[in-house]
Amino acid sequence: MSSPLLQIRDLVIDYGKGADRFRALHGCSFDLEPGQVMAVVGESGSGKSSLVRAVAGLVAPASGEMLLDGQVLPPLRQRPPHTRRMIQMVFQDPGASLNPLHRVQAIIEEPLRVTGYGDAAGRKRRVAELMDMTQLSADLATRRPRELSGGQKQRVAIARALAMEPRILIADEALSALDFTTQDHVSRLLSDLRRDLNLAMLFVSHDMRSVRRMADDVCVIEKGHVVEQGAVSDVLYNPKSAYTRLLLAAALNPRAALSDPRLAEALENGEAVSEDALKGVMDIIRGGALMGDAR
Amino acid sequence: MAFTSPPAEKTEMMERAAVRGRSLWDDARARLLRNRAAVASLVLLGILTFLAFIGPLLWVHDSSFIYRDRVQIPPGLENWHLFGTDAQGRDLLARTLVGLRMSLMVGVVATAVSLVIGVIWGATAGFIGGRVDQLMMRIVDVLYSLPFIFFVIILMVVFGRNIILIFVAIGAVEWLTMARIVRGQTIALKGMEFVEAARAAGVSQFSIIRRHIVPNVLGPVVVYVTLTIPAVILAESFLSFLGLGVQEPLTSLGNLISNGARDMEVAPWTLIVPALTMMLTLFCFNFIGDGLRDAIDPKDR
Repeated sequence: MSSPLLQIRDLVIDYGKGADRFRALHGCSFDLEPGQVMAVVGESGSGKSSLVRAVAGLVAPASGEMLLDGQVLPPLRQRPPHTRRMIQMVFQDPGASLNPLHRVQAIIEEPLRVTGYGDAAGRKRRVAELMDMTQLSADLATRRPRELSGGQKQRVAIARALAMEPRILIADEALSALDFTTQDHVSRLLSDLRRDLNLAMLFVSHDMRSVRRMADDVCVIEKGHVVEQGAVSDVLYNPKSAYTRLLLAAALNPRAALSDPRLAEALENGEAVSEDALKGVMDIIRGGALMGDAR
Repeated sequence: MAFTSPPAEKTEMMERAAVRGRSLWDDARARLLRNRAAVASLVLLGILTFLAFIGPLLWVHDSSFIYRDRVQIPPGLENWHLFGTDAQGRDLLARTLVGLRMSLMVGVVATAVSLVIGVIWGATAGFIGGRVDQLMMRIVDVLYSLPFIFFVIILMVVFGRNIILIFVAIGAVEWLTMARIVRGQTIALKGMEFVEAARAAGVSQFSIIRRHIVPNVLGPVVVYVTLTIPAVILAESFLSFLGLGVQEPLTSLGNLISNGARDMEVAPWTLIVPALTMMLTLFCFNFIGDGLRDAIDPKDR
């Protein structure tokens, strides 16, 4: 059996130096196979973004190992071009991830220029292809980001990432800034792309609904520690860690989760939850699952 | 009622969304052209600039020719001394036009110097960050605390009086604020996701600064430039008024005002004409700057 596409071993990420040092991630390991979607979930500030930003090369890890096709994955600036293009990222805020002064055409074309793709006409054809793949109508090519809707902007960001022909797509909360219906459209687009291109994905989210729909595996991170990891069907339907249960409860029925004072307090302080309270959580989860959100 | 008409702001937003393919700059231009004070100032400044550069070539009197028998003639049609003559018998209109030309040149050149240094310094400090940034901005702080006049006098003493020195002296002071503005903007932009996306795609540092940082910094910079030009013109006038500025036979508005102030009891027009010209020019620049600031509203980005 060949080695997995991406191997992450004991990855540790620090911010700051000396006394100001803050450890954002205390060791995380996983494998990603071609075409596999791994969800990374946790509260904001849990370190999930740091993890995927390290994979994208935007943050240098303090220790640990990242291997792509068995080769060491260095920080962005030292990555050779063919390695760099393998891993591309779609960001959370579609308003900030596109240069406001550039037209859609120029935005999607930029990575093509960098990789020296064809001549001007060839690049134009390729941009049209990419826009078609991401279900953007051709007349949007001359628009600027502020003349696009949130969903359209995110599609442009996806098209730009795909221009590099990556094998791993990182979606860092790529759906969370969108409204519900748009989330559905964009997540369906991502699923289609994954199927058509055999694209592996790191899917960062705090939305259990889209995790359940998109991901094969899930990695739950609490305050920089991986608390639970495994197939979505195991982790989300039979959560072992209290933190996962709380996340699920909060996601499925936030009102019920917060109306229970023991849970609310535990959520706020991040403390371990008593067995008694967990029974309540499991009721909420089952309730949520029964509320028609099964897959 | 199930259907109510949408609120006014919303319809306006919808209308704006319906306008297709217009850039930020098109919008800014449209807003600027709706601003009457700014448009009037643009036209007036255009006329003044045209007169200052073409006028002296066409006008019947030469700015440095001395009519010995026509000293301090009041404004009138006699011999075409429309704005009268000064204490040496030189035509005041010709001198005012030449003075305006000098003031505009000092304003534009010194501002251009401050723009180039300020943008490069600020963008470098902001983009590199860390210790380099600290060091570069401390240098700016030190220069800021230098008293301007003191600095100019030292330059004069060391290098002698020279028109170039005035550009250097004013430019050396004005780029500091520019550098701070550009640095702040660069730091804000550097963290933006579109810059990170460009990095992830492998766009080179230089291309990122050129394609993503500088164009997005340009808005506030353009506004600051139009407000710096009048400040520079004023600074030059101040130096000339103190006798540290432009030297005869060259002249500037500040120089003319200084001479006019000396003779204002016997020949008030020698003060009033250059002073009014300067006022008009500064008004124009300030109105244009204000108009631009309103037109390029950062909140719209």
